[in-house]
Amino acid sequence: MALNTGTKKGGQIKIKILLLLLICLIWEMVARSHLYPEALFPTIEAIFINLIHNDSVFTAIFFSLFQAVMALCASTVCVLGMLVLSKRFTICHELFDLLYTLLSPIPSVAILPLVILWFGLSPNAIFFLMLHATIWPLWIQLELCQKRLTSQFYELENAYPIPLSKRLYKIYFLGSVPDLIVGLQNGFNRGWRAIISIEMIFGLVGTHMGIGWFIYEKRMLMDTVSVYGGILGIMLCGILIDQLLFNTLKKHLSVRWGIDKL
Amino acid sequence: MNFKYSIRRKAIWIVGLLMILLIIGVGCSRSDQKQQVILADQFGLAYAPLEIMRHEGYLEREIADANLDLEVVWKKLPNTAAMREAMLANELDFGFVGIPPFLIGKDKGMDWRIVMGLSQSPLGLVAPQGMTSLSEMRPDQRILLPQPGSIQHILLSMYAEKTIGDAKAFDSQLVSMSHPDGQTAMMNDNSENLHFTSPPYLNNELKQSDLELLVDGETCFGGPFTFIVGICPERVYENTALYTAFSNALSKSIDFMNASPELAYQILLENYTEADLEALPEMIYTSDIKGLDQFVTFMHQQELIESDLDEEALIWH
Repeated sequence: MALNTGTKKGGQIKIKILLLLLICLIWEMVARSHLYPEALFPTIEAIFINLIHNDSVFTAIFFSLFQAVMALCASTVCVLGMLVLSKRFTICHELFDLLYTLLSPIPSVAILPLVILWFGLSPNAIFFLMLHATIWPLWIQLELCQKRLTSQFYELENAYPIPLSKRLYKIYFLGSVPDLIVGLQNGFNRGWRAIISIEMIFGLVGTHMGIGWFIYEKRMLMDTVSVYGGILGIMLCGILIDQLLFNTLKKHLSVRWGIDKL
Repeated sequence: MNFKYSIRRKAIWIVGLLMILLIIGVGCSRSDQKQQVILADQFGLAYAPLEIMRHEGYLEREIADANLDLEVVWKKLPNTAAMREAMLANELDFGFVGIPPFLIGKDKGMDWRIVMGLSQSPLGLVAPQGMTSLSEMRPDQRILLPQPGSIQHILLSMYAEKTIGDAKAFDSQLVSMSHPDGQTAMMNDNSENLHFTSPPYLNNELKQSDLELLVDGETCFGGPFTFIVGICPERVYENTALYTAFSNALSKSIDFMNASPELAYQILLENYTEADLEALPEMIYTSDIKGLDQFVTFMHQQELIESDLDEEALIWH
């Protein structure tokens, strides 16, 4: 059975690689046919050479990534605080629930004009927007997890006098790790898209240049190859973090925690 | 098993074929429409003669006189990059842009050249009151301008080179913003930002008591320069009848602005407020092109363009 799944998976990967090669081939054919000007359709070779030689793409990606990760860390701390408050006071729980319903559907870019009025053109504005983008997916995931853990361990907690520290660590922390990973993944996905769109629309940055601003600037300077390079960079970075980091973590945890569906 | 694989193989071929058809199809989608001549400008008083051209129907008349069967379509585009992309995609015939973005496109291989100049305009860097030089800039202050590579950016670089010796000194403090958004930001957050802008936004901002002009465009440049030029690609230039019709219509519009400023004022009132039009007397509308060489030399020095473009290759004759 295991062998069968293995072969099946191998076949899928082969087909995907084949399709990828086919896409590249078609791209290259169109690029070399000069059906479109070179400024619109550069060759893959030119894009890769540009990506490798142009290390500012990676600096830009790291800067944007750094901002997304910082916001994610801040969100995690905020959400933990919110969870404690909502467990203590029902009114807080209702408030956060209401805020989630109201605010979570709003994309960060939509409130950008307001945030500029509130905070001015400062790094604080970006940080606030990123916080908005990352906090809600994390909140909903951890809140559901808290509810589940409470109902699961309610009787156990009542029946045995478990010390608070042990209860917090063994039940709530260890029990919420898988959800934390999923929440972080969703938060990161939203935050990563938000930071790129914010930078591309307003070029609102600190002292460094993020990847959105990089693409915007290269577009203005008509450096199409670098624009493609930047997009390729975003793609690779997304695959690396979303697929490799988070999915591997989830796979590892599903074995460790014995949870099949994450 | 074999059957399954053959289906897969077929599917791959079908997907591939569909993609090829799609890519080819995109390029041919406009062929069956009525012939159009498409013009695009941007926002601001520097484009005023085009309002006249539109209002008076000069281009339509010239086209009819030349026995061309073309529909005139006007577009407003937000920036030069959009204009460049539209022209590359054959969706734009005549455009109006600042000299530096035009040079960047030319340098990257676009086959466009200047038809004629359109306007000279007072430009200026607006700063919080009390600031006397760019060397007083704090690291947390931002300079708002339309986009990297715009005429405002180049003028700022020229000024930075003159005063500090480093043309790229402020590149990490730029924020790209349209003129109206920049004006809003200046009105709300005026101690943090500087704004390189043009009329009417320049005049509106200078009316605020806590904002003042740090430096004007001519000081940055070291003399008068053309702000906006009309351009077209080679395929349009080769259509001599259309090209002549357009350049005649544009000349007429510029002459109209200079010969009857009161009438022009009334026409412009349809799209601008009286406050906007206060800056109109400071504008110069002329087909002469000034300062082209100097822009080329500076941008070449700063490696914004790779080739040292010859003036002859920049203007249609």
